[in-house]
Amino acid sequence: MAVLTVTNLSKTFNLGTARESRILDDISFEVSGQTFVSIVGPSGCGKSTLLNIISGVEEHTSGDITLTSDAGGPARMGYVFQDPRLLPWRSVMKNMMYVQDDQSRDTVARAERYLDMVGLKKNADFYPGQLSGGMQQRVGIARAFAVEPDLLLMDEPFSHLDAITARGLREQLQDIWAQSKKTVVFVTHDVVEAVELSDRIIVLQPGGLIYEDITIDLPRPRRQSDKAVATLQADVLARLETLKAMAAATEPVAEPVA
Amino acid sequence: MTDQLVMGTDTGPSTPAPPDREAAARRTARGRRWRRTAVLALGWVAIYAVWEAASWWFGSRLLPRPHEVLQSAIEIIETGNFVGDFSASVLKTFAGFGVAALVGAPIGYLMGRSRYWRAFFHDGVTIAGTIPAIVYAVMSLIVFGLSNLGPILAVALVSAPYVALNVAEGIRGVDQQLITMSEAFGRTPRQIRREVLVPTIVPFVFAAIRMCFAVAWKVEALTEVFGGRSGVGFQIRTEYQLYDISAVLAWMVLFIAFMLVIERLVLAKAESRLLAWRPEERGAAL
Amino acid sequence: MTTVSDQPTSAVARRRSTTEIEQDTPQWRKVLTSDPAARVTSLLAFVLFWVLVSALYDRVPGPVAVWTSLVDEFSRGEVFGNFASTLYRFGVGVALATVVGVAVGVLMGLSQLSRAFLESPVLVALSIPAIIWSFLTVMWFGFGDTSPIVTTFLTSVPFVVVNVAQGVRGVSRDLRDMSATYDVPMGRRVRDLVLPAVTGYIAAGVRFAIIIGWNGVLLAEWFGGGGGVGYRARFWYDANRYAGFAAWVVLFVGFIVLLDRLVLDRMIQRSFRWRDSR
Repeated sequence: MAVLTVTNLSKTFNLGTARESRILDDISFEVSGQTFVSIVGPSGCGKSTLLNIISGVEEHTSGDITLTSDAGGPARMGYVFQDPRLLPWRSVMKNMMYVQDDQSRDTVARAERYLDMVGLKKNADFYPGQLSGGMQQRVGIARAFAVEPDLLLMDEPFSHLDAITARGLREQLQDIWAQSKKTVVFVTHDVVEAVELSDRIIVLQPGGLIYEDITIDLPRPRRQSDKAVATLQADVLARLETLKAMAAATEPVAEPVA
Repeated sequence: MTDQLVMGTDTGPSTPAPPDREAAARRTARGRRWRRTAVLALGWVAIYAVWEAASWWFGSRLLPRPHEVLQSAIEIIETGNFVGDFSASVLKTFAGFGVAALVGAPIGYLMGRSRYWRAFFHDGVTIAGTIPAIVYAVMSLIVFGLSNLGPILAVALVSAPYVALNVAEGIRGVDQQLITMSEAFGRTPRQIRREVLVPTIVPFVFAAIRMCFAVAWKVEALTEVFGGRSGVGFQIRTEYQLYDISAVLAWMVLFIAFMLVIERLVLAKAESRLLAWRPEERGAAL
Repeated sequence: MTTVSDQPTSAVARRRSTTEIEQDTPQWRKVLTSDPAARVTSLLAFVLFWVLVSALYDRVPGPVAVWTSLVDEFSRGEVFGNFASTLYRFGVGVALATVVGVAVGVLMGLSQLSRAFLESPVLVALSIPAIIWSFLTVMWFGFGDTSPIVTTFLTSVPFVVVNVAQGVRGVSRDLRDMSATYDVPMGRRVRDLVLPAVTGYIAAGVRFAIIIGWNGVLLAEWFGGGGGVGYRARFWYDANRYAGFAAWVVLFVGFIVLLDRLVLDRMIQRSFRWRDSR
């Protein structure tokens, strides 16, 4: 059953005026439950806007967007940003509980479990200022997972980290995901990363159209060192060569930031 | 261009300096420290000297000698009632701060969050910030007469504009990303206020209090001098009416020293505890 | 299952765009919530609050009584003479404080040794309340102009010193080292390098000094007998005619607000021109 259904979605700025610009152009796709979907594309393809629209931060101009929850009622969403966005004046554990709807003992236990999955159980009483950037981001990921959302949105969560830390976090993300199997929509500019993490890659091109929809069939867990992974990454990159030329040719469009 | 002109740090060989160079450098540093301490002490000596000279010039009836004041101070301490008066004055000052925070923080909050309220309060707050303390002191006396509430009101009036302006600045500078994060996770406006906005403005309230602490205790003493029923100002008025100038000065000196201690120790400590989560400097937000 | 038709919504509540909100708001509402309207409303609210307080406490004079007193003072010719006295004393005191304060501040900013020496005296001077100075100066100099002038000077000079010293220390170390390397004579260094950069901080210090200085001159006049705004205000206070006192407060506050807006703000903007013009 589809968790997220997008039909004929468009986002246009300055509709009807001379400065009209189309950020997203008549996009349709479905995301089924328990899949890890990546949205990739060069700058100006509208991927951040798409994420903002899904999460409700931005409004779309036309089309449909539907979110389904297994339990009925409004869908619960989790969000991981590029920067950790932790409340600096609260401890790690309090940060985990801030986004929970109830503070019952079960919920606390659940939060502790996810914190343990990212290996930061000992740091539960630390302040964010006492943690490194990578550790803070791990808390951010645990925080989003602990909500046990129907849909987990991730906006280039590793792009602000150094390569080594990012690599470690990617592996950790795969491990958590294997344990909890949430539906994830993951935005990134890094195709290599997308191939490592996802079941499916939706490629957007400048002008907000879907260029390609690629299914990744490799078994998990995938490690950067696996030959199969590396081969597929090279393959996908090659397929997207023409997209590179397309990106270079188009006018750079400023991507609206929430 | 300046880096060519300015001889920066010595870019000599990386081998450790020969032992006598090192010892010499340490001696120079130590010498400089001693010199600085000596000059600092000289400053205090200068104060004493100027006081003695002025006292000689004006006559010790109009300006008592330092040792006379010291004697009065010792007497005051020995009788022991200074504790009661000091604590009365300090309590009133902090009570005034409490009122100032209660009134000023919401105003500042409104000013920071809404353009309308900012325009509404801006004139009043800035004018209130420029009114001299004596005006507030007398106003408080008119309202409360001879009472202990007068000094509290005066402190509140003097400090509230600072609190309001600081809180407004704090709210305007609140981390928008934390708010978007809270909204993305579906937090209610009340939760956002409690967990994001209020913790953001606490350091600003503290900064405001620290900024006007110096002015506030002086207004408190002033109001007490005019019409207090207890406290240091009250004692000062009493001694002045008895023409005991050295007692007046002794009370003042003791009070100043006491307030400086509070400023440096108590306020700084309380602030660093509330701001323990800060990664680097604990200290004024401004 | 939460489904949506052609109205764009999702699980999150719908939010309106700013243009939509603008178009929806009626004109009268826009005017009422504009900035100038807010300021007028604020003034009205203040007057209303004043009337309320004076109705509840009869010690507090109401706006009407204060206005009558004000008109009365003008007709008695008490206003201009007293204001002139106060302004003169204030002006001299603050001018002296500026000159001395800048000199000492520059010295403290440039020289480590003088900073160490003067640190404690400045700290002590900052801590002594204006009322002590006004007691003492009235005792020393009696009634007349000297006491308010000296009080104003003594209360404001530490603030000028502190601000200027801070500003001078902030003058880029590189620039100072450069002029040291080129052996620029101290006088010229101060005039061409330090002073222009510091003018902004001087202005800020002077502004602070002015606010403190008013306190000093009024206090000294209150305890002294030589006329002036403080003296006249005390006259009414002692007679328990608080409307008269309040009239002088209104007069005085109105004056310093005008002074602040028209004169000082412009001064500070101009003196920070080098920094803010980019």
